Amino acid sequence: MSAALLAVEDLATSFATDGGTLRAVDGVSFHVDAGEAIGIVGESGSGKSMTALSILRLVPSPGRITRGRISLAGRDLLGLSEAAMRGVRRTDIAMIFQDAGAYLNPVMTVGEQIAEAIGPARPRDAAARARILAALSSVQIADPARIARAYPHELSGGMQQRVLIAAALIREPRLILADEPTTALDATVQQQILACLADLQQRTGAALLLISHDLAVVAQICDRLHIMYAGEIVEHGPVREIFAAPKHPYTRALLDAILDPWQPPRALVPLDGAPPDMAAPPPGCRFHPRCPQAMAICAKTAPPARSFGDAHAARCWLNEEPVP
Amino acid sequence: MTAATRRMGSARAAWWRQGWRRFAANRLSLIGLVLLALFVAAGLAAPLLAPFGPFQLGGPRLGAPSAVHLFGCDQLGRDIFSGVLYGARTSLAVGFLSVGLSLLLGITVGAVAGYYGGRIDDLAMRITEIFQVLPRFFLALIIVAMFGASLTGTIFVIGILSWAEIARLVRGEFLSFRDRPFVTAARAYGAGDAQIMLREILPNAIATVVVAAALQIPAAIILEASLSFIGAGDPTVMSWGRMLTSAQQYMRQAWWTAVFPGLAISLLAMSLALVADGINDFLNPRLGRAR
Amino acid sequence: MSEAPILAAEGAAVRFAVRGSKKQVMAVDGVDLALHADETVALVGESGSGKTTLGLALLGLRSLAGGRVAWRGRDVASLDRHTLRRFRRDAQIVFQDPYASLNPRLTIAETLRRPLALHRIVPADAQRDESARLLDRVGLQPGALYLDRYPHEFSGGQRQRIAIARALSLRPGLLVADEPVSALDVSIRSQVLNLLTELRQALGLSMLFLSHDLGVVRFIASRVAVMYLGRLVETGPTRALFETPRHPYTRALLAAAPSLSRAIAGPPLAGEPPLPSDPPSGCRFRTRCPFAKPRCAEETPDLRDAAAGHRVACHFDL
Repeated sequence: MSAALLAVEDLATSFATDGGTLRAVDGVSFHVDAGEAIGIVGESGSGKSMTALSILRLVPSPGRITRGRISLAGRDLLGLSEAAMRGVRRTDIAMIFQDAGAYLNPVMTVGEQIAEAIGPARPRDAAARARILAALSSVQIADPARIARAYPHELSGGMQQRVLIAAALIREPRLILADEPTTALDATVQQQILACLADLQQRTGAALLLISHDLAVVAQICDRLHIMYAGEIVEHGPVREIFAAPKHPYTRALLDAILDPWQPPRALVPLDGAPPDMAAPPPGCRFHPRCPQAMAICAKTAPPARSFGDAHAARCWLNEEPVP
Repeated sequence: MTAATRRMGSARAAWWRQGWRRFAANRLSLIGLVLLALFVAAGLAAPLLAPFGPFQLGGPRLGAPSAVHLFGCDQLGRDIFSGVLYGARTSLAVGFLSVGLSLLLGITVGAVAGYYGGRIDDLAMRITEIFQVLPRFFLALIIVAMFGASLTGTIFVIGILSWAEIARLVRGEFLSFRDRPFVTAARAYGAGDAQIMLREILPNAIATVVVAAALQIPAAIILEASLSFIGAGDPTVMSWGRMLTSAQQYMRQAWWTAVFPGLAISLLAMSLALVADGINDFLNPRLGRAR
Repeated sequence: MSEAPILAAEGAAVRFAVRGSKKQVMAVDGVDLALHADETVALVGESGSGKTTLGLALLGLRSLAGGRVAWRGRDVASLDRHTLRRFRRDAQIVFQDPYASLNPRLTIAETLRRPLALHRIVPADAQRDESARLLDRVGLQPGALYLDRYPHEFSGGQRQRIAIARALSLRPGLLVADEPVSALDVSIRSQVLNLLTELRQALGLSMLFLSHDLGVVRFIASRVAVMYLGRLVETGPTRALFETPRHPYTRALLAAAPSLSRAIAGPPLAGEPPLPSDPPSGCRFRTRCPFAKPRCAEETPDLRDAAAGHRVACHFDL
């Protein structure tokens, strides 16, 4: 196995609250190779956003990373000083979040903000300007000079997101971390953003870690998928395989819930219940209270991981041989 | 039905309990609350606690604090301790009543302006601005000069001068809540404007307003003391401000004539400010909300 | 088909003034839309299309700058107070954001009680039981257990159910649902969609379902109307519209919808959506339309019949 660009091993992040210790991320391991596009899919409370924040070491208090290793190109991120970590956030990992407008300074023009992203030295010469315009063009903005002079509130949501992507990518990071970048955007704009991300990723050779609740969105540009539930990864593998033959009931439920406008409508068989309280997750397999195929053992012991070839694995007792 | 009613009570009780916990988490707020309680008790029980009447003569002139006169006496032989106790009544009455008036006016104007918007809002805001730029102290003096000095007058004047700030706050809150989905839902099931303003929006807006009003009380108390200080206060009631006026000449020889009334004003104002902070914590849980 | 529609917009127009400038936005610009008994009509549009504004205007919650809204044949603007009250009972709404549609300072019991009390649906001593029954009906069982809690104690999906219960408390004939599942998790979304479908069938409700999600629309609607920048560009029965979309915008929306049954998504729609305050002349879609011709800038196309019940606003047969 070639050295991965990003390796996360047994990551756990917890919050101390009035109601007990909330284990938002509980033993997550995955890796991203250089140039790959990986997706993490989960609903609210699954811990996917907290995983991204943990990688960036931006977990809000009272949360803390309680165990695990995170390494970027072999470098241990959890052991770095805050100053060194800031450097990593600036040059090695690009962050793109939902609700782009909130991350743009309303009193600075777009061009000025991208200039800030270039670096503190911020030379205002022609070379810097050229870089800013090039960055805006690379996210398919038609009139970069005009947009560079505009203020964020003059732009649509989709454009704001593209501006953020331009700012994030101007330092040519090795890893792009995108957390719900297209949620709350219209479908047509969503397409533009995804195409833009995929294109940039190809051209710069950066790796992409895309986090979303929308399986269909993630499936469009990612090579591999990780499905998260209640702080754990329950299944992971190549996109095609997961869609063709899912090995976990939760994955199957997510796939069943997709309403495809290109197909005639069919009956929806929804999952009962709701994601568990992370301060007191169910014993054994965390999904068992909602699982239509739960067995006695599921409530007692957490299932082991089983591989299905080509880096496809899932944790489910249904995949194990029954004990005679 | 009774079990259900009991449970309804418990939801309300839980709200109080959790709010109180947040309030009490801040030690300063607790200190403020205790102090405030002491002042209120002192004011209410003044006739019982005060060894002498507030204007009663007969003590040693400029007498130092002693067993009989705990805070000493002023230049006319009046007991300062009793003066402070009776003065508490005046200050608290002015503080709470004037702010009560200010709330009444401010909420009415602010709610109407914020809810209806448009020209009504413009008109209301112009009027509010006029009241906001008036120099409070001088206006108070003019009114006292015109109508004579009385406690009611003082309360009225201070209320008139304070409502504008409340109106602004309330207007902002109403503007913010007016288009929220739950308000539209109320319009959709046919609730009238008055009903929506009073029963849907106001309960949500009140938190900010209560804190602002709580902070206006110490300001009102100081304004009243200032008016009394220059002799524009009601001559028939004892006031800390008036005590400070008389103390001006005698401060050097008899520090107690100024220090005790001055401390009273400062401590009462401070305790109210601390309690206001605590009320803010009570009403606005920050991390407690489940999502 | 001679029965009057429950709710109909006839040439409806709604105008907004842009804050801080003299510009006016025609959020809704001449829309005809009728909702009959027992049908679910989906109003599809992206942000800026005006669909929410139209939904609110249909309920009389936005004043019209032109045209009229008719409730069972009668102009809503001309209703007297008493009849207006009956109208409010008959047409209700559910909103997109479950975190903002319930008054945070009221218990669920109080939230449900107020409309019941206002319209005297049941006598005062029966209101609590009726509220509990409503919660049972939307899947929050046992209802009585949830009555004395506050909204912040519930999840998004549960709050949405409570909002649906409130809407149903008045026993309306029509429900306007403004993106009711867009803010919910995927697994909860299916639950609420099934709930809406089941309630609609059991109660004989009509629904106006506003959404930008075509998959959900195809699942739930019998008729679809597509809106762009304040005007309808295509209307028709669900199946016809999805199988043979005729307007370029409808086709672009379909192409943009993420789908697992197509290997590669179509090319994204070119250009930026125009500002609602400055719409293009003639056909508003022409600035992004791959088939635009000079005529499109001069003449605004109206909805015309293309097939049975299928209408499209385009100068050309595409």
